[in-house]
Amino acid sequence: MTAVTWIDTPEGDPAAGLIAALLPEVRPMPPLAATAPEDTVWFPSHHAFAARAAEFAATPCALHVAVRRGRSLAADAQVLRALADRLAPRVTFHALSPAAATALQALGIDAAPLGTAPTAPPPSDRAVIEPDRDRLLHIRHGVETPLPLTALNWARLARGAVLTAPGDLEPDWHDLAALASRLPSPGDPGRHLLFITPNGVGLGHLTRQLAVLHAMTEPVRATFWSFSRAALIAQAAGHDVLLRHTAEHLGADPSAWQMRETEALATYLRRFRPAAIVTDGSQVEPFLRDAMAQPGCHHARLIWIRRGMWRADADARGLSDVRFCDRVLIPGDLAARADPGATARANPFPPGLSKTRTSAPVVLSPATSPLSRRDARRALGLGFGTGTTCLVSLGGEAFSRTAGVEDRLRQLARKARVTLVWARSPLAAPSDHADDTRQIALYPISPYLAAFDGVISACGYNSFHELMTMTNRPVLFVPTINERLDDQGARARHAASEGWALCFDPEQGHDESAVLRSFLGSLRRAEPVAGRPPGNPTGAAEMAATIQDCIRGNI
Amino acid sequence: MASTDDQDTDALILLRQAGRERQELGRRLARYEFEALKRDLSDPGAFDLRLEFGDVRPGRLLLDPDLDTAPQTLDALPRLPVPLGRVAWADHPEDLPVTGILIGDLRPPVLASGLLALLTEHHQQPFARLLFLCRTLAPVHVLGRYGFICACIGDAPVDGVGITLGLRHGLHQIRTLDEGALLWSSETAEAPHCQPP
Repeated sequence: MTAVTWIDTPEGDPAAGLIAALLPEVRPMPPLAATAPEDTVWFPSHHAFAARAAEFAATPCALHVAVRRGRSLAADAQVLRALADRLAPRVTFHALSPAAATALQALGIDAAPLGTAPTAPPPSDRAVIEPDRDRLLHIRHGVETPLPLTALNWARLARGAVLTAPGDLEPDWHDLAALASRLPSPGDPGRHLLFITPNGVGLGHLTRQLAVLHAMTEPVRATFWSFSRAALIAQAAGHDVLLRHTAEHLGADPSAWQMRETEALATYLRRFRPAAIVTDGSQVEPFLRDAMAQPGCHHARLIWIRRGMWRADADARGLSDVRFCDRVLIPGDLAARADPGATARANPFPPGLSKTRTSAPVVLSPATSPLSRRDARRALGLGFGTGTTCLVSLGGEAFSRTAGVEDRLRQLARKARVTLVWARSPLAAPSDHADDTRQIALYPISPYLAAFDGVISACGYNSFHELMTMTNRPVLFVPTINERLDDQGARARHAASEGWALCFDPEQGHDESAVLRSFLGSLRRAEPVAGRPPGNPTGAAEMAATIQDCIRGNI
Repeated sequence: MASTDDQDTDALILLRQAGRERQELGRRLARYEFEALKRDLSDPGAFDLRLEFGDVRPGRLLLDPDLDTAPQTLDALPRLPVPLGRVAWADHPEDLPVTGILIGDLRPPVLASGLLALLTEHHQQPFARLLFLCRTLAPVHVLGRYGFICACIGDAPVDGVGITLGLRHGLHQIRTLDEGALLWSSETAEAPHCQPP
C-alpha cells in the first residue's frame, strides 16, 4: 500500500488550503476514513482534531494538528495535553506562526511554526482580511476588489498578494496571514494546461481553444475537460481528453451535480497540478472556482477566454468573475463596433486578481496549408470544372431553426444550377434530405475553402473570422438566433454594412427569396469580394504568448 | 355560476387530459427520435468524422478522476441520475435500473448493428436507463445526439468502474453490447474500501 497524506477539510477554514500548500501531495479526508498505519493525517485546527480524535484511537497513523490561537485556548490546552499523552508519540502539534508557537509554549504545548521565513520579495498586491464582513479586500494599485472570504484558496491568493490582518483582529487571523507569507515558492509549474470546454451549441469554444493551443511556441501538454460531445476532435488534434457531463445532459439537480463536478476536478488538480486552467465561456463555472479553492488545488493559474458580442439582453453578472482569474483574454472581433451587449463597455466589476488583454481576432490555423481549388475539389470529390458549388455551413442547431430557409435554398439553387455542399457538424444529426444532398463531415474545413464559389454560413465567432480572413469568395451569413449564443445578427449585419458579405436575417424582415437569389446569382459571376479585412490574424499567437508568460509567473 | 365542486371536477378533467396529451406527445417524440437514430445508424459513415490534424498522434482518453477518489468520499456526495435517452418513453423512467453497456473498440458496422439492436429493444420496451461505458470516444457524438450518456473508461477494469459508477449513478450491472453478457453486478461486487487505487 502507498502511504497517503490526508487532510481534514472543515468548511470555511482557510488554514486547510495553506497547510496543504506545505505538503507534497494531499487528499481530503473522507467521512469515517479507514486510514492505514503508514498514512499521515493533518488537522488544520485542534477543534477539528478533537471532533475526530476517537476515529484514530485504534489506527496507529501519524497525526499532525495545527493548534490555533482562539479565545478558548487556555482551556483547550489542558485537553490537548491529555490527548497528546493518550495518542503519544503519534501526535505532533504545529503553530501557524512563530508568534503562535511562543504563545503555545507558554501554555506548555510544544508546537513548531509551520512554513519558513520568506526569502523572495513580497508581492505588490495586498489582500486585507475582513472577517466581520466575510470578505477579503484585494488591493492592486489602489483598486479595491472585495472577494468572498473563502472563495479562493489562500495559498493561491498569497502567490500574488500579501495577506494582512488589521490590528484589531484576533491573533488567529494574524497567524493565518503570517502562514500565507511563509509558504514555499511554487517552483517550476511545468507545461501542463487544462482546457475546460463547455457544452456549446456548436464548436466555437473548442475551436478557439485549439487555435490558441496550436499557436504555442513552446511545447505544452494539454488536457481537455470536455463537456462537448465533440471531444473526439480534441483527441484527434493530439490532446488528452476527459469526457464530462453537464447537469443538463444528466437531468441532474444543478447543486448536486456541482458538488460532484467540484470533487472530480479537485481530485484531478491535486494529482496532476496543471500550470494553468484555460476556460472559454460566458462565466467562470462555479464548480471550477470551488475546485480551485480546495486544499491542494492552488497551483494553477486561471485564464478565462471571454469573447465579446454578448446579446444586449444577456445576463452581464458573469463579468464579475474576472476577479477570480489571473488573466482574462478577449479575442478581438472584426465586428466589435456593432457589439450591442455588456461586452462593448468597460467592465463595471473590479478586476481582483486579473489583468485583461484584448488580442487580434483568433482563428484556427489548420495543420495543412490551404489547398488550391483543383486540389480541394479533388479531395472533396467535387470534380473539377463541373459548375458552381456553394458550401452551406449552418452549425449544430441551425438545421432545425432554418428548416424553411433550407427548403427554399434547395429550390433556388436548383434553378440557379448551383450545387450545394452541406457541411455537417459532428454534433448534428444527418439532414432529412440525406438522399439527395451532398454532405461533408470534415474538421477543420478552412483548408478546403478554395473548392467553393461561395459560402452560406451561420455567423458564430469562428466561422465569421475564418470566412472574412481566409476566402475572397462571396459569403451569405444566416445568423443563428439563440439566447445561449453571441449576437450573430449584429455581427452579420456589420459584415453586410462593410460590404464584406450579404446577410439574411429573418428577424429583420429580409425577403428570403430575394436575398438567396441575389447571392446565388453572384456566385455564377465568380467575382472575388474586395475590401475584406487582411488575412492571418494574430490573435491566437498573442493569446498563446500571454498564457506562456502567465505560467512563467510574469504576472 | 359553477359550484366549487364543479370547478374541481373540471380542473381534474383538464389535468388528466393534459397528462394524457403529455404522454402521447412524449411517445411521438420518442418515435421521431428513434426513426432519426435508425437513419443515423444505417449510414455506413455514421461514426466517421474526417478530422485533419496532419501527422499528430491522437491524445489519450483519461480516466474519470472518480476512479482515483476514496469510495467514502464519493458515497458522501449526492447520486446523479442517468437519463432514459430520447428514443424511448416511460412514465416513470427514474424507476428503471441503471445498466452499464460496455462498448469496446468495435468496427463501425459492428458498433452500429449492436447499438441498433439494443436501442430498438429499448425503444419498444424501455427496460433500463442505459449508461454506455466506452473504451474509445468514437460512439460519443452519435449517442450524445439522442440524449444518451457515455462514460469513457479507457482500459479501466470493469470492477472498479462498476463500483465507482455505482456510487455516482446507482449503476447495478454492466453488460456487453454485442451479447448482453453480464460482466459485473452490484449484488456480487466486493464492498468498497477506503484506500484509493
